[in-house]
Amino acid sequence: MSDQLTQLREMREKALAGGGAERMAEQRRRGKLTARERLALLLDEASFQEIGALATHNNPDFGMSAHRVPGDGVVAGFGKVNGRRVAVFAHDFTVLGGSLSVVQSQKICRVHDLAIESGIPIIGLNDSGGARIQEGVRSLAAYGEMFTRNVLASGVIPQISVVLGPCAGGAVYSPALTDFVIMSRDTSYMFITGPEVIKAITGQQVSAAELGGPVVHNTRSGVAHVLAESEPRAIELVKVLLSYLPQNNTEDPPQVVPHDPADRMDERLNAIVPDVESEPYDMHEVIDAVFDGDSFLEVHPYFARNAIVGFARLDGHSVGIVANQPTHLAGALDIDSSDKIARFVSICDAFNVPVVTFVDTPGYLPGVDQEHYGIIRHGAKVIYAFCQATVPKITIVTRKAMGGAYVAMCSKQMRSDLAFAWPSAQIAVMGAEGAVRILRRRELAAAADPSALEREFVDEYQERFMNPYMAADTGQIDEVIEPRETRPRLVRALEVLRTKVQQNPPKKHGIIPM
Amino acid sequence: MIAVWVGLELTIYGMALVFGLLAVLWGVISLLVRLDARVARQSGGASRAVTARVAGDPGALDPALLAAIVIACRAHRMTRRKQAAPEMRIHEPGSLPSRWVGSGRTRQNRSWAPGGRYA
Repeated sequence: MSDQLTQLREMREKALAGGGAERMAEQRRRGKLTARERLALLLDEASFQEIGALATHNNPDFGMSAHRVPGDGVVAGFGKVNGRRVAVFAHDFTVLGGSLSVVQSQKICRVHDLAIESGIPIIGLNDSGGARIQEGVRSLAAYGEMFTRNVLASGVIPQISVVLGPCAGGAVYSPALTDFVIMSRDTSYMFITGPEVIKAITGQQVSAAELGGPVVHNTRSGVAHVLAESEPRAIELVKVLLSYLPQNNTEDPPQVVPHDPADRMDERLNAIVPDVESEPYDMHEVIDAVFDGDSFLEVHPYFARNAIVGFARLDGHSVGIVANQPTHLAGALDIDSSDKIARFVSICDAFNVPVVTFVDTPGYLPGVDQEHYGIIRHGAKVIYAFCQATVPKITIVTRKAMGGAYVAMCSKQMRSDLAFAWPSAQIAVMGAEGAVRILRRRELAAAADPSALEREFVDEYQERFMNPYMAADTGQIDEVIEPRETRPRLVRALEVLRTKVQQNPPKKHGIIPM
Repeated sequence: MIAVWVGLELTIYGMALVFGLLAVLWGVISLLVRLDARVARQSGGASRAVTARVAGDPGALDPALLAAIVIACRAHRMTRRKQAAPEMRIHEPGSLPSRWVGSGRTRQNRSWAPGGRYA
């Protein structure tokens, strides 16, 4: 028995050693942590239960028999994050560059299957050179197995990907299919075809960072949702993100002891909207003043900045926030912001997180490019996501709510449960100038001084229509409130709506305008 | 008549024995309580002296160190709150009935329907 135990202990030691001390040192020299160090940071102390630690490949081709390392380049298993169960896997770059083999895929899929069946979140720490070429098409099939799990788990359990190293080729699709992608600055990149291939085919010269670095994916492509300054920060952000999410689609997110009074009214809100209509204000200040102090976690903070989405807590309860940002493009909805909002609302709906929407938008962004690249199709996603969502939805119109964008931004007809408006709200089909030029076209054409008459008509239109009272009169707004009352009103409303149950017609699945 | 006297005699001896033992026990307990109170007074006095020394003597703890401790405690608490750590939650993890298990068990007991593992 002692010999058998010795053998087991030796094999375990070998698995723990990964690619060896030299490669681990090389990993650290690049400013990266090893797979097990990352897991130690992520999981509660002594909570990790590894599976498949001794599994390794059986590929004899290309001299691979000499490179058989227990674990085969991935550390997978279960653990706890702040006392909550999670499934995890971490690529071990020190073993054959973390390249994906059949055995590696089997381990990841096994953990994924168990996560789906147990109803617990899955977190992937990605640092892999891509498919293991020595295994040929089998490694591609292995990716397919993983993608299937990603799709089946979508909307059932939270899936979070942390990209901490290379992620290229087919490997990018697994993180892309998950709910959140966090990228660490300096060490991570994601692309389908690398700089060399692009140079060979198109002649374009581009570096890996310019092509698929964390800044690109957090600002331009929108592939990544959060940018972390370092690996430990990326891992900490996973914990924070999980704190807003339930274990699965049938449960509620954790509720923390409230530390901010529910009836707190911030007087600054009453003066936050400038008197001058064209002057912007920062919607972040509104969010900070309304929700529990220091509880806002912004998702996609650098992508499509004309919209704000993120999680916060209200009286200790997790809520999703969607808002227009007047400081960027005046808060107009464009293609990217539509995608950003639609995706976030969809995630909130899947995981029972109520949605609070702050509206200040002059409409969809006009432009030839926007029309040609499909603002109609992308804009429709916002409508689809809000209409489909059955979680509690509350809307607050802070200033402009114009035309189709007003309707799309969770208006009463989008099955919003409650719609509030501040006295500064301007709910109308279009801006006063535009409306006057259409409605008073003939009078203006015949006038001796058209500009003076236009000014007169604009003033008249603004007085009659550019306020929240006509919308309140027709029932499109439930209540016009003082801005400082927003927090207590929301707390009370969500208290009532917490047990809301709304059902959509039975269907296999809807067809979102993709 | 003799049997009655014997019975009475045995009762007296028995009761005397019982009450005697109770008296001894009372004495022992009283002694222990007194000893314990004396020990508590001594140790309490010592801890009060330490507290008074730390609170009264500004030099006992460096103010910068004290401020750093306070900031560290607050930062730690904020981090725990942000992460919805167990001590910050309204409900202990797992203390509420899980709808996942509840609805899952219900589905398990439904009639078999064609489909794969995830049907």
